[in-house]
Amino acid sequence: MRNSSRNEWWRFFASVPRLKHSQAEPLALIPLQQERVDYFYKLLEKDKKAFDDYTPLNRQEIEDFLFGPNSVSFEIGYGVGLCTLVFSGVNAYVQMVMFDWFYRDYICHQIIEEAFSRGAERITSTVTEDRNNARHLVLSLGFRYEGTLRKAFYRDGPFADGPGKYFDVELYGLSKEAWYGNRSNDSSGGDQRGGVDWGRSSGCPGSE
Amino acid sequence: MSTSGNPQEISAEVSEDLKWEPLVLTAAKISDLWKALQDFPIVFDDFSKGNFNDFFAKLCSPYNIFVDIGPGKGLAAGFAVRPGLDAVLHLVMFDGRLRGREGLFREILEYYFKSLKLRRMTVMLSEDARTGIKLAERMGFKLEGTMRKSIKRDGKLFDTRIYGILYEEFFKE
Repeated sequence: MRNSSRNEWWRFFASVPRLKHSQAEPLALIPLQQERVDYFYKLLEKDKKAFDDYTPLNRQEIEDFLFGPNSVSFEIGYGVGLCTLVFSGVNAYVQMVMFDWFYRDYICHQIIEEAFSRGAERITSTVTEDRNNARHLVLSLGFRYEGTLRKAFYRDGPFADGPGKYFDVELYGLSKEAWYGNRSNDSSGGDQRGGVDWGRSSGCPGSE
Repeated sequence: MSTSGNPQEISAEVSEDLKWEPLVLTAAKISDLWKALQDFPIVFDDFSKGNFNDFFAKLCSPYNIFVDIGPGKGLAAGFAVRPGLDAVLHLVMFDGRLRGREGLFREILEYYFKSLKLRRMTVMLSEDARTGIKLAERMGFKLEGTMRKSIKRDGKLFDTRIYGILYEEFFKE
């Protein structure tokens, strides 16, 4: 990564309001209740540039998304994070945000296990092209790059070249076979045999 | 949902006298569509096959926009529509013929692009959907990715190919 984009990222990261809390680890994965939507919506609205997975949606769309017929949503800790699995046949799309900007391996593992236990044969994660930490996170979990959808995400700015900007979206996939196969072989997970460094991904700051 | 203009006004007659217009749902129409689609190995995204509730939910979702071709000869669907950004396109002709109808399909794509102000459109196809893959490529869609083993049919896992076309690519001709 070029120094300028790294600096840009850290300036952005430093400017993002992070949720402060004193909840003890490990945080629990709690099925999301309808009455919690307003709480999360307010957090998402605080910075519309921060959480790509949910911020393009308005209040009604978020509720439809979180509680759709094929969606399973979880609150992580008490209001610390939000995760949604959207099942489409044997595929589960995963979306996750941590409002304290601290990604925990054990939470990611629980979510992956949850998706597979509910019948998914694979999990798909999408990463906006400029989210380097999110990319690092999914790769460290063993997801494999599967393609790039051009200009598939719009983020409001302002940016140097306009009020908003279209970004490419990278597609990553993790198969059940690879997750359990690699885990039983070497106690790590993912499609990247031997390439998973749980320690490194622990506490990786980033956004989805 | 952001739409501009009156879709009826830009609906046009094409060869074979096939017309298209936004789908109007009635009980009879839903029943006809359900029956017609039973003859196809894949219904929409492969998960509505044999599942009327799922099929019905997709028809009624505010995030999906359908176009009736014929009328009653085929169906175009824009799924997961995000006005100003993207929609996932599905096309089905009940007589199974796609070749030679590219002009009609282009009109429908133009309708989606313009009325929803889309930046791009996406097509997701099972790796064995050769006819659909050829059509997507003929229409200028570019292969953007492959979701490995993402569709299960008859106990076998298939890859999903993802194709995309940008606004400027579609309108360059």
